[in-house]
Amino acid sequence: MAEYRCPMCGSTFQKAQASGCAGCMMARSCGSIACPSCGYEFPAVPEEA
Amino acid sequence: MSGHRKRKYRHRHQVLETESVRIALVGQPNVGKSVIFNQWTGLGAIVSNYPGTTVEILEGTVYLSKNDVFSPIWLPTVKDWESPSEEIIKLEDATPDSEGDRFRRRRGRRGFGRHFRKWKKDTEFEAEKGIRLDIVDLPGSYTIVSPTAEDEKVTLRYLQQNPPDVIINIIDATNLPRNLLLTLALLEFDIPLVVCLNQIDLAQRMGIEVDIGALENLLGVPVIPTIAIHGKNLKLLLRVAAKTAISKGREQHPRRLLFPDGIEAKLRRLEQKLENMQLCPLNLPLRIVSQQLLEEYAECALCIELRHDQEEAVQLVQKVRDEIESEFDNDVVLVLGEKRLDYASYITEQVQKGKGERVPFTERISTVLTHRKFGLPIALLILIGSLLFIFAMGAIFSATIGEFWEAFINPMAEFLITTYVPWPILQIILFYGLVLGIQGWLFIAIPYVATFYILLSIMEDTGYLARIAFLLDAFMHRLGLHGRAIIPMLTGMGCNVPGVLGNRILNTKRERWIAGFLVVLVPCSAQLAIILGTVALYGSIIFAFIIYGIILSVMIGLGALLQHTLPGPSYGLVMEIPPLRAPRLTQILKKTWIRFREFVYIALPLIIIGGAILGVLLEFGYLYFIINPATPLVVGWLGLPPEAAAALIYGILRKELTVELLVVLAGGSIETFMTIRQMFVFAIVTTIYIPCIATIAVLGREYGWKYTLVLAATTITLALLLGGIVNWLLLGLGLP
Repeated sequence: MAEYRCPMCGSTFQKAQASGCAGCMMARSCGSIACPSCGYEFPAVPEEA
Repeated sequence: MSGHRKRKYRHRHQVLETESVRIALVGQPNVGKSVIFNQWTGLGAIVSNYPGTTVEILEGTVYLSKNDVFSPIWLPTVKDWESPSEEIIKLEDATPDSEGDRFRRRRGRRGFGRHFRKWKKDTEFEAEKGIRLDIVDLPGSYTIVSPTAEDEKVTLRYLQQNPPDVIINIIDATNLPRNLLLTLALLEFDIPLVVCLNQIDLAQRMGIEVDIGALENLLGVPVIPTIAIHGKNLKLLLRVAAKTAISKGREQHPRRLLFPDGIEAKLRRLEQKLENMQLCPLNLPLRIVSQQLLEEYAECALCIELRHDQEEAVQLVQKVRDEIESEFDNDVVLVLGEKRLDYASYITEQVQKGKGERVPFTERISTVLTHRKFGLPIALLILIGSLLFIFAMGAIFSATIGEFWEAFINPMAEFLITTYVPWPILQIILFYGLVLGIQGWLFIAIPYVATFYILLSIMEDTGYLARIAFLLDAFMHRLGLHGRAIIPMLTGMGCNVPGVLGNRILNTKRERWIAGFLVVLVPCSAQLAIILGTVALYGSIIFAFIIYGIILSVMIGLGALLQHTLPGPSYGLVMEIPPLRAPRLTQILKKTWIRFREFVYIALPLIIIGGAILGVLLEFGYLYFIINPATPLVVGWLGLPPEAAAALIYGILRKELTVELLVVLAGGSIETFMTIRQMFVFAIVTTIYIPCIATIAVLGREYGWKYTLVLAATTITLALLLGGIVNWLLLGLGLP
């Protein structure tokens, strides 16, 4: 499963754990995810091995 | 069995009272907690908000066979990683995730349905005969004795209200002292504990060796070394946790911290008093309640104060606090914190060989970049350099695009439209919408926005953005905000919408209110393009710096005003800083495209439609019916051309549309339409006035419409006031 690394706090998480989309009119179609740890939003590009 | 500790982890009471065990994963942020959770539960996670909060809790279920739980377990030592024994490999192969992997591999070879059914049947069979383990991934917490952040409070509340059968405390082997602070707090709970020492491989690479047996002895609970990212020993961890839960931790002898220098006696006195008064309102061990009361943890203090017989307890707490503070000449929170850290450091000294002194080159650079004295000047230089780079790239690209468009596209399009399109209205629509609209879009989107996103992605990928957040922590406190507020602010540089949503991470309503006002003032990528594509391009880059200075002053002023109006505490920033690393081209390009594509899919159609409508209104003379009411304000006070009113109104949809429409109105070149003074005023007004419609919608959802209306009214007033003052000031200085 693809893993994402927050560029702000360095935490790694998976898409199901990402937060921040509720309430946004883009409704997950923006291609970005918000870090569940620090809240920073960044493009959903999985971490390369 | 050499290489294994000669000890079986077998509990004597193999009486299974329940077929289900609840395990809570607790750890500080970035210790690999979520990796472990995901390795165990895969896609089966259920994400839910903790009641009354926006903090999310993940829950998943796995099954272990009874044989796995009840058979003896040989615990490995760290050396087993270098030459893993057959037994460990066998254990790892049997992890639930490996089952999934095997299923996925089979699916790839032989098709989906049959094997899925077989795999599902196997799993169900396993579930029938096995023990159900409900795993709860609690939010990352640095402390849970007297927590400050909302997610830490949620972790504490969860442990109080839904005590699990066992806690797995995940700690980072590369940073034992800090991680052990949480372990020491968890040892205070009356809940069985298993410690997972994660990232043991990374620790070894840094020259750190941990004596697992010694650590177990000092803590009095099992310690399992793991490499979560590779799934090493996760099955073993699960087995030990299940065993511990079923035996209700009877084999454990947790060694709790005894505070030195007379503090312990004072704590005991307080504990005894609370016990005598039967005052345990929070379903917590009295020892933790005593520490919380001393540290003035609001939720605990409130519960005590609600009791009718609270007076005596409150007085005793105050007395003990005064005694400790006068004895140590320091705040009680700091004294207790220092003692906990001393003990964590003592344990580390006892169990750790090597201090991880191999400092990589990137760490040395990081030290300079976050230096107390040099960090901020370096950051300022890098930010100014970035702005100059965006400006230079933007100027080159927009000039090239402009020349190409004027020389080839415009004449060709004009010829084609007038020759092949018979109806004048369609000619206008096509020319204004397609030709001038796309020209305006190209003028702004690619040169400035794309360049900005490339730089932002580089800063992210290298880890420098996190260092800027760290450096600006103190500045945030001056605005009355939590250090964490810098994260939504930095997010807002790309787009204000995620910036507003990011304010959820702030602790208090007061902080979220202040941050909501300030985030919408942060110039987003579109506003940066407006500033650089108008006044900086046709005037001087100095104007751009002046505008940024003005906006920063407005933010500081408004922040100070709000802090004065809504007084309250602000907390420090506790955040992991990721290591510096070289940026990767593919990642940067992918990130830039994801951010930029909305300018293609959303902004481009909008500017084509807007350009066409504006062209029709302009050519048929209807535009002035719309803009005339705004003329006294736009022309009289702000000194802008009357048509700018239409651009300002349309710009509410998306901020960059203001400049793109100016290009349409000007027939291709803004400098023929506005003077430098007008561009300066226009850039200030568009940066500050009402947020774009997407931001307004999110503000309404997050803060309520009353707050959004107040914010919109404030920003409009501020923009008009400031724009007018700047206009008259520049006129006074003789700027045309």
